[in-house]
Amino acid sequence: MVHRDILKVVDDIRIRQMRGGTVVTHAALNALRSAAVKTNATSSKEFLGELAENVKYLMKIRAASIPLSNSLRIVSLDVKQAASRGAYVKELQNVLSKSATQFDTKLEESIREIAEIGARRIKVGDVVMTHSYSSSVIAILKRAHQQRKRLKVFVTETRPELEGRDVARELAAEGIDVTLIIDSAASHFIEDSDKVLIGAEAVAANGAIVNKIGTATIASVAQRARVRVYAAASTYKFSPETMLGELIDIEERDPSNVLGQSKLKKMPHFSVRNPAFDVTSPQDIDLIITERGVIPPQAAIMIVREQKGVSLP
Amino acid sequence: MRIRGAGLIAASAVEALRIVAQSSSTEDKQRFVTELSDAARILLETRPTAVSLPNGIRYVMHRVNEAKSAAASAADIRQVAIRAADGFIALTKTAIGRIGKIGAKRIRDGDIVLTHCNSNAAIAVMTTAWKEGKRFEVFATETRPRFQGHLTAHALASAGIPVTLILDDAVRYFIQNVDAVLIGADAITANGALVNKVGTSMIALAAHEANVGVYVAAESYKFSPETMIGELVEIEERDHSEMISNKELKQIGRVKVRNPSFDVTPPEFIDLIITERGIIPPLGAMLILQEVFGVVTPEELREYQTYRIDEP
Repeated sequence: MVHRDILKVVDDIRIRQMRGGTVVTHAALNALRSAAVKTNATSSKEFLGELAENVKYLMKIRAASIPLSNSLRIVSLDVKQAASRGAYVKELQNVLSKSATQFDTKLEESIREIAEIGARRIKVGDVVMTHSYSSSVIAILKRAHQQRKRLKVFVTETRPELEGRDVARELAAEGIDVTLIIDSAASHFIEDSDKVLIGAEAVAANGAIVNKIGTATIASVAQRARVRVYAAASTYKFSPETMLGELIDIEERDPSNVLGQSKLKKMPHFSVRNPAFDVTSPQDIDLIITERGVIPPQAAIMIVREQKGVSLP
Repeated sequence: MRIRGAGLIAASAVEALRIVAQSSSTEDKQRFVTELSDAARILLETRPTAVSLPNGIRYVMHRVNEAKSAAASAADIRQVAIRAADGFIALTKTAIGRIGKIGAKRIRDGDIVLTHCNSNAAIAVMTTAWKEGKRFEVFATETRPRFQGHLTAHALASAGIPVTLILDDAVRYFIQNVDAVLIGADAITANGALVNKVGTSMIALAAHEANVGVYVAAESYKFSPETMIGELVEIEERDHSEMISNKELKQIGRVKVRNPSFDVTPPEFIDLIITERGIIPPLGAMLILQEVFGVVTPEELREYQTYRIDEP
């Protein structure tokens, strides 16, 4: 039985109240913690069973959410290890809570580090272009603004969910100079830009970036205009799966996000496709800003190899 | 009604010029040409937008001036003017159909064609190919900010063509599966660059990188001579309300909004241009300008105002 809190958080995420992989991970861990606290399990075996079901359900949220799957894998591992040492339910609850909180904290810290490291890359007067919603990117821009770098930001609206508007709102609230544009206008304004700064849903072992659809286009436009492309991603975004040769699954979402329910009904004679993410090749990325420092995409493999909890065949 | 508008606007202006030619009673050929030139100038001022209108005027005046140089009589020049006007008006009515027939040959069975915005010329190519029995499918981009891609998808689907609507952002995602990109043109510059709905240049870049052909369907009166002397085509920026409502903007806070209507695709990303006179490579744009509109020297150009590309 999947816990009610888990069902609720998945629902919340599904109706898109949550922006960005990091935010989703926080919410999922929260739900996992609260489900553990409210457990009715009387044996550690039962507790583990519940945990496994909850984790399985949460993993469905977004196939491409690597920090989510990384966090769930780490927490599960910690709890399993405690159970194998003979811990009872009460202790398992504590272990889970502690492990989830630890991951949360590390995630928060990693964003603060990324903000510091990334802000150093921003020069006074820089014009930065960004796409989709990324907690890391927003943190970098806010930090640079605090450092009086007087930056300007082009924010793409990011169809179909228009999360760019949320980015614009957060940056504007800090007093940052923001210009909102449509995604297609990126190449028009790339010549006025000094850098492109994007987040990542996932970083593959070869340094490719999986991110919101449209990212690959903007990166390639930037490369052509000789504008630098920086990706900001905590090491939790690095995906162990790709090292074993698995391609990251690109989720196709509800077509009504593109066309709207009523229009879809009126015009049933054409189909709609709505891939949510695309893959930016490492050639189009200049640097990846992680909490452990700045790396070229070619060095991503080193980080991926270190991911905790990956069992290699 | 933007694309049909381009031809219609030009046709209406040329119609007016024809009336001036018809109703002129002067026997003096210099006076006649001056009357026409004055009328031309007034017409250019009424609607200094859309590439097609100045081209229509140019079409007539080029032939008039040629006749004058060849020492023809006023009566002869009048005939030339009227014939030229009729010729151009006919052109605006038949160009799209001819482009459809010529372009249809470029579509092969089993092709996946990608298109952007709502171009009647591009649609004509696809519907003609379908009517001729070619079987293919189309990916149509929704085309922010006004979602003109919906009109295209609807028009193609109504013709029986299988269409998939995608985000503008998703072009690069799907480009590996695409066989050809087929788009219209708001204007083609003298060096063969394409001015078209914003987003076009990104699509052309993606196609270029994936070795997918980019075909532009453009009537000859879309070709713009102004750039020949280095004047840049001014890209119109439109009101933010096309992108976001005032209410939504208020919820975001203090941000600027910029909404350029068009962008410029360099000639290197264009494989060919389908005109009603045949298929040319982008660098052949000059030929069209010279053959159809007689544009050769900067002095001739100076007679006409510079203008912007505009959406009605």
